[in-house]
Amino acid sequence: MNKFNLNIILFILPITLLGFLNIIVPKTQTVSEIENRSLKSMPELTLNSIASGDYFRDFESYFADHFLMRENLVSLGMGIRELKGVKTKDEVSIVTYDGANIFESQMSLEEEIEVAILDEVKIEGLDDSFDNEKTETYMTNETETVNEPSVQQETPVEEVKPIEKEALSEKEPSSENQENIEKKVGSVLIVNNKIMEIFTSSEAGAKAYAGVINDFSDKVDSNIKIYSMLVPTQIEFTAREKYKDLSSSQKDAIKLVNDKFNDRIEPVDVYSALKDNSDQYLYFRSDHHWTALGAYYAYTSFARHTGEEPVPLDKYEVDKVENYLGSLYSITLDKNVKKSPDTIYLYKPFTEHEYHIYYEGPLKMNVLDMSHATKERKYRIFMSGDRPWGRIRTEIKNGKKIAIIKDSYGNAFVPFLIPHYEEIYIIDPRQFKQNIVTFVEEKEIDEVMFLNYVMVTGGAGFADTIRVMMNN
Amino acid sequence: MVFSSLVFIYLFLPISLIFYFISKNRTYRNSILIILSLAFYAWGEPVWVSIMLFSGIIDYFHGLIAEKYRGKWQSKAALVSSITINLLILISFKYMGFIIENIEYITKVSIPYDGFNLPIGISFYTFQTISYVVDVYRGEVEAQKSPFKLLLFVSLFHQLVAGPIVRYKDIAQEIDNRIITQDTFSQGVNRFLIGLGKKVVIANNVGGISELFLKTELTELSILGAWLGILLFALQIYFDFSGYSDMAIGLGKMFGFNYRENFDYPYIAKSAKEFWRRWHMSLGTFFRDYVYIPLGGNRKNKTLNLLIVWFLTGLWHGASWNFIAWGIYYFVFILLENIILSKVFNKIPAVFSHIYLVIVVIIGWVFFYFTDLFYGLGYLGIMFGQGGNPLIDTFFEINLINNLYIILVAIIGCTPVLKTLEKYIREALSQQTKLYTSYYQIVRPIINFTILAVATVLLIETTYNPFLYFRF
Repeated sequence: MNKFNLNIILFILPITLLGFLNIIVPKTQTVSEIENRSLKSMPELTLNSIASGDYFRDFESYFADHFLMRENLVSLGMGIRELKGVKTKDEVSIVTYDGANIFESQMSLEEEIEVAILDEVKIEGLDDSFDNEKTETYMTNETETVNEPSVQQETPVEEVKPIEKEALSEKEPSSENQENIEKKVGSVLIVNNKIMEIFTSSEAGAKAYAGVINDFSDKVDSNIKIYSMLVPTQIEFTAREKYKDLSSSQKDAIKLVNDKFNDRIEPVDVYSALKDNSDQYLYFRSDHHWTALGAYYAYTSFARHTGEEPVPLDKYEVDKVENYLGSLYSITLDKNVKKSPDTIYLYKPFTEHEYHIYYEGPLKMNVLDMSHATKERKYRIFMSGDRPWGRIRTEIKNGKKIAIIKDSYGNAFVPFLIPHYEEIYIIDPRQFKQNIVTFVEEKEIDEVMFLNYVMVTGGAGFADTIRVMMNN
Repeated sequence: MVFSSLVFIYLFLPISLIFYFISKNRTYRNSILIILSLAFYAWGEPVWVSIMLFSGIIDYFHGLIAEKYRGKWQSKAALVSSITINLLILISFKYMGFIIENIEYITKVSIPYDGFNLPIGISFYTFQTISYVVDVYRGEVEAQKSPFKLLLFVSLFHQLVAGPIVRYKDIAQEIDNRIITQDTFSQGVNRFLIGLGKKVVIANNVGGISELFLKTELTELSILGAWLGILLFALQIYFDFSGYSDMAIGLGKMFGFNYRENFDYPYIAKSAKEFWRRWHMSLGTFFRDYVYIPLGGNRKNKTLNLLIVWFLTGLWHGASWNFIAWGIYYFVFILLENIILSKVFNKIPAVFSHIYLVIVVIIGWVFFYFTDLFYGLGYLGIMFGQGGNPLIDTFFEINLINNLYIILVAIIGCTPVLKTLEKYIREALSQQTKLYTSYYQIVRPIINFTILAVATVLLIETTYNPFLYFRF
């Protein structure tokens, strides 16, 4: 090239330089917290991976995932994309996303141990004698093999090497799980600083959901009470008036399901209570869940339904965690929402209880797990997130046992039941690996509640996971 | 690998350019181009590279025989053999599943067949090698004596994956003698970046919006939503495909090859016939020169010849009935134009024939988009008010407003407005040498750099993939 040609230079130089830098700059980041996923690692070079083409596909994702200044460029890209049109007066927009998945990935075994250890540090709140006594009694009648490095052994924190702990915490969630998961396109509506999932009702989804609960009722002992609590979401109360045709009526959708139930199943109406109080902070603005306050109103409806006296809210000591930007924020990275993050209010249980979650054996957890307060996914404070199953045993010796078969909406709800039951079983159909009918009978459970948000009736996917539990 | 990927722009391309321009030796450059092309192809299809090599090698011999025995039966035999083998390759990999599916449907016998993934670019390179042998047979070009140089033609990575369908005779000279100056290289850069912008900035975004409507349940769709969805698809496919051709032509120029144009503002056409002279021109001329004219063209059985060509054009786009329907659809309109419409259009203002064409093309894309022909017809029904869907709804309104600018830019970009504008600027400036040179030496390079930067940022942004787990 004999003379200066800016056009060529401005093309060749950036691509060569950036390409070169991308290769030589070491890749230290392995997890993208905001995306809640691990970044692609350098694929392994094997004859097989080359022949199948996997090596090259993986390399391409690896190259893109570790591009220089990727996270800054992503925000810049979102900014550029906003130029594609106009927002109306209320800053209304619709955002769609791929990659809505059924399962939250399970933690690896190492992470479980880590969580258990972290948990040990914070158990001081509980009375020791109560703790030990309890442990002994149910260790004997436990049917599962307890082969976990046992929480009951009081593992001293010092034994854990700090380096190891750091390495472990990087693994969440494992990328293998992410890839085997069904993906769907969903959409959310943003109005001012609120992000809301758009709901589309489905006759087939309602049929599947009611059908599987009907089938469950046919299979379990006829003395067991069965409740269904379908929880409406925020869009129903805040945006439906103005954007009527955008999101299907959830009132109708809940009725559609309830009408299909057999006589044994008792629908619990929480819609009215939530609607009556919808001027309060019942739903997060940046997350798809309800707040503990929303769950509290649902709890009062349930208590009245069963003839119990609901505990007044002011009996609870309140704690709060600020600066929460939830799942819907991470889809949209919406600027207005970022400026006004959510606050999580926690109502601390006053009844003595202890909570264990079960993968293989029991791990002691807190119903309000503050270890998540400093992490990205703060809703996991409630019940320490979604687990295959868990059990709360309380000091209330009334012999009442309830099982909550739930999605993550159940997590904010369950703590309010503690003053009313001796044992509460929490079951997540997305991860539960046993036969649910046998389980309910073995544990001599006398009430079962299906508690989910109404979105699960928009398709048959969730009902299928419940059916799988019945056929395990 | 596709051109519009980070790995291509920031890794493959700079490496290719460095290795290519490191030496001026022609044999070296040809060899390195073959290696790069095979690497490019093997990136996605490590195994299927063998089919391309096979196709190239046998047609090398076919070409030699067709030339040596020109006018004798051996020559014809080579021609028949080449066409047969290439079509057999194409049928076995692209159409076998479709054929078996239809046999199963007719005979009700199930045939065990696993099928293959379609090898990338097979529809393009088989046509290119057929055209080579036919042209040698016809004496329009000399056979290539070097198998490597023929392989270079077959495998050249610029047009391997998505065209244009380059004919050997068009680049035969350039295999041995390429002239690359700063000016031609710079033009190549301009062209590549225009294509990249068309693909990444416009096609990807517009495509995302179109899916919102095209993937909505038919009952949930508004009439205008249905029209907007397919209009946006029309824009997407144009910017996607013509952008890819631009990138191919631009890359060709950087490496010293001049490929023919493949698109000429198809949406400004005034008849279906004219549309196809402007849309994917290399395919149209292929069918004209190698099917329509040999069948007798306009001289005998014109209607039948047209039917065959349009049947094949449809089928070439994919192994499914909807593509055949799409081809036949154009046959019907071109036939109507031949018989009557063109006479009518001559008498009325041009704007009517233009509106006619736009509607014909947009409806045509409905057949093209929905591989399920009956679903496509259902969608068409919605567009014309069947099923009583509302004319307009909030979903349509919000999305239209949210994306207004990009839609307008895309519509303007389909017309030669920008090209004409640039021509005016050039003419206006040509009197003033100083401004003229500064436009070319400064303004244009900066525009190009901006396109590269924006496209890069948007490509990175699409890797933002938050892991979500709450939808079903």
